[in-house]
Amino acid sequence: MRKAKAIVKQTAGYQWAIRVGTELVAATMIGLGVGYMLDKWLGTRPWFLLLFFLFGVFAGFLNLYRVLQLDMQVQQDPGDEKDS
Amino acid sequence: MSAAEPKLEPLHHFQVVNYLELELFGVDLSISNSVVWMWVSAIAVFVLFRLALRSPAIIPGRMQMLAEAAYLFIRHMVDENIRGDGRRYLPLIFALFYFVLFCNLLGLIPGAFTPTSQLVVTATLAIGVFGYSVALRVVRQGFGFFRAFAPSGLPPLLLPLMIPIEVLSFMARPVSLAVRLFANMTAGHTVLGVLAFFGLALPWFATWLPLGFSIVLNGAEIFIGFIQAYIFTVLTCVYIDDALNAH
Repeated sequence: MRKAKAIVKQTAGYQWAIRVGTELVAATMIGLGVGYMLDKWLGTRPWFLLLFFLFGVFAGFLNLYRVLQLDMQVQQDPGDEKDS
Repeated sequence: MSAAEPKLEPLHHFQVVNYLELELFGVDLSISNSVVWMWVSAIAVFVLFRLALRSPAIIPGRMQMLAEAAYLFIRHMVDENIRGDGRRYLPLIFALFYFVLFCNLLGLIPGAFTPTSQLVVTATLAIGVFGYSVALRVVRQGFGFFRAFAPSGLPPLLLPLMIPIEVLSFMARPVSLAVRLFANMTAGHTVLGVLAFFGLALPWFATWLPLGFSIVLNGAEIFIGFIQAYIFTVLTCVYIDDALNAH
């Protein structure tokens, strides 16, 4: 039973990859969107786009860091209680 | 062994089918299979907990024990992640967790539909949670809402750098909340679909390989359904906690 559990957990590992990707992409996209809007509004192509792209990437890493902190908590918790 | 030639359609089971076209005041309210399966999961949660607690006893039976464990699990999560009077938000978190969990798990039944594999559904949930936490923050902290974007103890020189980053990371919350759940559900079910196709398309002596692996993957999907529901609700707790307690 324990072995089966380990196999399942290993197979489920890709959900971690999806999460990391999502976290980075979401903030970057938001940054790009905000930069694009500001450029369109102020007519300063491409400066705000570039600036907010960088901000977005940093924000993505910040979010990733926060979510992975929660992840550690899940692993320490008896997170695999049986669900109903 | 002369069934119709199996076709590779791994996205087939994400197709939304409208059972009943319905339009009210210009809003599309059609009853689709997604809607039906959301109803099913909501009713299943309600009925299961009702049945489990039908005749509560001091020495609980098996079903009651399960329901109580399910409740304690959420209460533990709320206590851990919301400081102060977090118990007030317990019903919200409880409903959210079991709704998402049942949407994830019921979708694993062959022939069923997974509502959480639709970006519209997860985005609606995420925007609802996000909007709620923002409203709560404005009500509780008033103007201090904006102070949250400037971490204390930072040299003023770094502020023009940190404020946009914090604002962007705040705005990315609903997006990543929605996409994370959607992408996980979609990816898992697509892989299951591809494996099922392989199992049908391969010659008889190799069929066991993909089908056996799909059994393992089904186990993984149950685990992921649970983990994703947990992450969704834990993040909701964190957002509510952010709204209640200024740093």
